[in-house]
Amino acid sequence: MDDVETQFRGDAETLEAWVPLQEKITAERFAAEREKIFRRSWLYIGKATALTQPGSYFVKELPTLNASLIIVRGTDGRVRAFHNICRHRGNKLIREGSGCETAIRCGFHGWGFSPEGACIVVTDEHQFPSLDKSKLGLIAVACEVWNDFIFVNFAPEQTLAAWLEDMWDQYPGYFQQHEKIASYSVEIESNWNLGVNSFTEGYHTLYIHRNTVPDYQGGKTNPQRHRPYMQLMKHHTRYSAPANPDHHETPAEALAWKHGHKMLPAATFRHDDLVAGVNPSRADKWLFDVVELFPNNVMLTGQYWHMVLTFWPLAANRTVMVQEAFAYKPKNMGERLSQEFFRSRGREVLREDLNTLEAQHAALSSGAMKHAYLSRQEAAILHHYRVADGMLQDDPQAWFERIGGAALPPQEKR
Amino acid sequence: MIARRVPRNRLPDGTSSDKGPPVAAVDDRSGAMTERLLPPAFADLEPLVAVWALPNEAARQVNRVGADLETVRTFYLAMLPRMPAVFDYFERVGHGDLDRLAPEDRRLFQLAASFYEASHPVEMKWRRTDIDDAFPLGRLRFLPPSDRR
Ligand code: FES
Ligand SMILES: [Fe+2]
Repeated sequence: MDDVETQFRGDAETLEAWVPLQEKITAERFAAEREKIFRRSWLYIGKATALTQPGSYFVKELPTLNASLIIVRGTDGRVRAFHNICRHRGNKLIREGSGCETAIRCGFHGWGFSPEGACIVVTDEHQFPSLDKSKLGLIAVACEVWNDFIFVNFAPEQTLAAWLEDMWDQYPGYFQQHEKIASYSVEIESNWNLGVNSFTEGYHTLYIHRNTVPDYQGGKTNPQRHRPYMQLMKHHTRYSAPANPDHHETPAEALAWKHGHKMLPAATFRHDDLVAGVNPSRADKWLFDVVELFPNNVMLTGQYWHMVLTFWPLAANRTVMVQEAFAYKPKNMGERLSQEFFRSRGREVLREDLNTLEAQHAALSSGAMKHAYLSRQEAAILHHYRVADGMLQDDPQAWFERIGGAALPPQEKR
Repeated sequence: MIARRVPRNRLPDGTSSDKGPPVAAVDDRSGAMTERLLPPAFADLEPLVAVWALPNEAARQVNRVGADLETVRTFYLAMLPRMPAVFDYFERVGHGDLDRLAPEDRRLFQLAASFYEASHPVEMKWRRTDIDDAFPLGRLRFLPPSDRR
């Protein structure tokens, strides 16, 4: 039996294997994370495909930041985010849901706002002394779109392009090829960091997933399922999962792959039609990638599908997780049926992943174990806390300058 | 609790030999329009419709988990030899939009989707119809499109 050695990119050498995990789930830590991490990070809040035309909007509640946002497409086609607050006396403008309006009207005194956020109607306006509507537009939140992913930032220190580093232009058209095929949410009694961590290592897959996907990864030449490639960025982490070329197909699965794209393949891959960001090292036996979009998002990217998991902390010990699965657009109903295998099996895998979080949180919060000792295969978790600790330092600017590229090799263009 | 789907329209005797569309037939006894449950080529699967042709992923999973392993296995074994024909049939439908399917085609799709739900405990040799050590199904919220197709 041989072993695959992980090809690391970025600073994996100085990661300390011991991590003070217990302190990461405390209420004190969470209060600081909310202000210094969540308020200053670009946060994924939904796909722009939901906003089909000018005036299309949806309301996004962000309890993590005690905020409610209106995400709306303007007549110029741009997607913007505004606080869901009427500029008159602060009524919540839209209670919930989504829709399409040429003007957003407040039910309290009838003020109206354009899809670009301008104040366009003040009722009985002559009663307002020296009214200047230009001072009464909706309060904007920084909002940028990357490949249909809408991100917001409450206190941006850099553009979304800079935040995403070389991922910014490595996925042209990739996500847009897919449509949503499934979505779930759960509220769990667990810290959000533990949630993110449980999706950014492959070490667990041999054990947790033995009943659902026992042999997709690793195989004879990589029995411990070492990641072939792992990239630690300034904030994010991206790694590839190894395929098992000897995966055993069951009858239902074989039928699915016969009549649709092989979504969980083992080593029979064409790399030529993959964008640079997917399987970025062009690993030979490749299954899919895992990307942690720091702080609270994990993307899985495969050849014909991607998944997005987002963790929204409500408190130090309470988290809402939303999972969305996307797959290639079927050209016939046979392909649609074929996707039912992936969709339903994927959900059962997700339920296995979620099942450790509450028990782990409860055990850690006993305070009996202060530190955890992690494998190199868990480097994404160590990096997550290194990045978070950096942002929690008092002087964020100094931290950005210290870590800004210095620990990383020169960026290669693919 | 799961609401079992009750077939709304039983075919009157003798109309199952209809060829091709249109699928609606007049029930002479009631005067109401009736539909066949499944496309004619899959009439043999009609007894499965009431329990297994459920409208969305959420309903199909809850139904599977609520059934016992022998029931799920029996359904799986009834469907497995018919699945190649089901795929061939659906490959001739040149779009992937379930909302555009005729009711009997949609029911066939839902039956086949339930086959995939049933395949997990049977093919992965689970001890029961749900996984051991999984997050409780009752706490999983199904969001669109999982709650509607
Ligand atoms: S609070 Fe909205 S119009 Fe008065
Ligand atoms: Fe997992």
